[in-house]
Amino acid sequence: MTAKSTFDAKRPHPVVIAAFILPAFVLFAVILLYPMAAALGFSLFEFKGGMNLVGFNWFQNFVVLFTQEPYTTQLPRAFAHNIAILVGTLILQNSIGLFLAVQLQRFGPLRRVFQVLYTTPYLVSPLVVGYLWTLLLSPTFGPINAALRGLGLDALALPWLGDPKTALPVLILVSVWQWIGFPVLLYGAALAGQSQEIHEAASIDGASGWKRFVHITLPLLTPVIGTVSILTFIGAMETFTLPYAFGGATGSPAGSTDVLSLLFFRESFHSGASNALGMSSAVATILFLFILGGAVIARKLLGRYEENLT
Amino acid sequence: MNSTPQPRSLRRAVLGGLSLALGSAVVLSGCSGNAEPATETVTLTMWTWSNEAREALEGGVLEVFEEANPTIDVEVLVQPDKDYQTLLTTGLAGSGGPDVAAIRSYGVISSFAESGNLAPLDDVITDWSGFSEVALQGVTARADGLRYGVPQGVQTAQVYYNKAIFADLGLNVPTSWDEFLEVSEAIKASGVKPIVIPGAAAAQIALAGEVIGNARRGGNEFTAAFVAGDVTLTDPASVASIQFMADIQPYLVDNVTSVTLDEAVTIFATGMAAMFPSGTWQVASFANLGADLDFGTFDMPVDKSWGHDPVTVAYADGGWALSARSEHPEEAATLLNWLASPEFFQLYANTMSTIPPRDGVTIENPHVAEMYERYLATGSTYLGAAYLRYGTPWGTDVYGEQVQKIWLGEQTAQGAAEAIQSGIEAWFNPADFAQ
Repeated sequence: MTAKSTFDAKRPHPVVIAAFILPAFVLFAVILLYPMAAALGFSLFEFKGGMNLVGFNWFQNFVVLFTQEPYTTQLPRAFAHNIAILVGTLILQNSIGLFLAVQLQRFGPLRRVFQVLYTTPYLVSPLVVGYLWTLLLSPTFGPINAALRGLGLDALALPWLGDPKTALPVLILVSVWQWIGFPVLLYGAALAGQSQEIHEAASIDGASGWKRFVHITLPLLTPVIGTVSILTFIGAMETFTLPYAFGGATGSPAGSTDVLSLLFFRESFHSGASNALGMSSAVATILFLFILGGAVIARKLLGRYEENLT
Repeated sequence: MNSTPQPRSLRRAVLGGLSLALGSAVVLSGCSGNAEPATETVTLTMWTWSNEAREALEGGVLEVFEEANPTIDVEVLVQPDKDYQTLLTTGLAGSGGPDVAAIRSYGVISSFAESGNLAPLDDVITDWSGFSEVALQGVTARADGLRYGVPQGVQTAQVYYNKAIFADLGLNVPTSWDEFLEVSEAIKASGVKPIVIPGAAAAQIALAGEVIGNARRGGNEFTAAFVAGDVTLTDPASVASIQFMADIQPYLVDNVTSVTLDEAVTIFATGMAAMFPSGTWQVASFANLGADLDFGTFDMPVDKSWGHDPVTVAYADGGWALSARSEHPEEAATLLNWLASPEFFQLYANTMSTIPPRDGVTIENPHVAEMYERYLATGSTYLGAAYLRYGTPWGTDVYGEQVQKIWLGEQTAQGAAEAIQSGIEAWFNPADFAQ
């Protein structure tokens, strides 16, 4: 048997490999690559009514986006709201998610039940969640304010979604409420995978519960924290459905829940402008590049941090 | 919602089966006979985003047309509202699209016309004379001034009021602005909230603002001057009309900026508020709610000093357009001419409880009939819907946002008017509308 034939036996002919990869690649290309490339391309053109092409206009759509009203007001405002949602969900999802996962570790057989309970809202469409919470939080008909008044906490019975001061924080909390099951599951799986021997060894060495958590559990969870954080980052930057269900296309009240995806939505489907396709593609491109850049940088930093740990 | 059985499709299936059986009989006997094929039937495809429209069309309305035109068969397809514009853009640009499609008025139909995929109807429709100006504006493309749709319907906006509450308090429908405030004051004193506005939804605030302020701003005369570029929204009359939204705040329901459209309907229908400025479609909403509600409608009264009569705010509510790629333009033209006829609107408007965009129709629903009458007499174009939605930001979106700020104590009427004007100046150019 020659070396070559051994090689052949291990690795099939490139044509065979290609034949196996092709179906998945075609799907990937048609469903993901093409629309992405098309949006990137569209952002460099000017349109006149729908898909009616006027011509290539370099980066003019982007120049308009960064220099002209309403974009000079709406783009930074929407971006700031996305960042606020990111910071809020990042802190809450990681802390509450980890806390719940650690507590569930001790629950034994009941753990499954609670995991399912925490994950349930995650299975419901954010649109439904949004309308449900709109009803729950309604100052006129909602049970939440009725309960608060019943308890004598009239001062807390606020128009939650009608006041710019509370609308965004409520949006963040409901978003966390909906997605919390996801970090709970990820952290739960990672915790279950941690070797008990290390914990026992540390116990014998006299490490307290808190010390073991800080010095063993947490460092070992770094890769999962990284994954949860990056997914939270992507989710927070792309968020659309919940803000849309709460405040409509304009980020009501008074633009206080406006986010980048709503700006994109208004630009593309809610505009009536001749060059809607070009401008909305420019917004989409910026959003895409920011998410891609952010995710790559975060991954790099996390990778370096994880290397330092070992 | 759409789970009701479709007797017509069932019948069609039965007929199809019968004709298939007959057909094979003809083929079998055809060996010796001289079976001449009947005149070829052409199938036209109509698209709409509205289930209600399809149910009305297929539930008897189109039957009248098909009986008169036995060689034309019309299929109505409902495309999901959410993706309607995207689907229609693709459908009109390629094959497999509709022959005739419902398209939303003003900016949307203008944008489709610019793409070159719609055929202008100016010469296709033989008689435009019965249509109102408001309705025709809605299907006229901004760029070339041609008509690209047969108006489908008109929405009017007015004040709904609860007759029982008015009667209990011995109040009459106000006939002047001061009386309107007095009536509001009296209702407030009785413990009922005088006015509900869906203050969480920008578009609904803009519509309510139009009901309350259109005549104050100067009605159609102001709109004409605005589109000609002679006045802007910071004109004192326009600012005064926005100031009304601040003036009525003491009479609005609590936490108005959190009231959604559904909540507003419930609040009014259950008698928690006595007045509700809104569109024609609420007649159907109230009927669907099944609430025991005795309501009437009135146009916002005016003050003599404004120099303008009361108006019925109205805007075009979509039109039927002809695809430039239709394979049967002649048959489609026959259909469109019928869709423009009083005969069609007599059937359609009464099934849908909408206001027909033309004269010569008898409306059965007394509420809608009243609105139709007022509309024919004093219809005034909803400026925001007609002219402020051709670019981002929509003028109506900024209006809603600014009025929310007024209600939240963060803005004045003057500041709001300036913000709306500077918002639309990003794209609004009177020259674009010159026809």
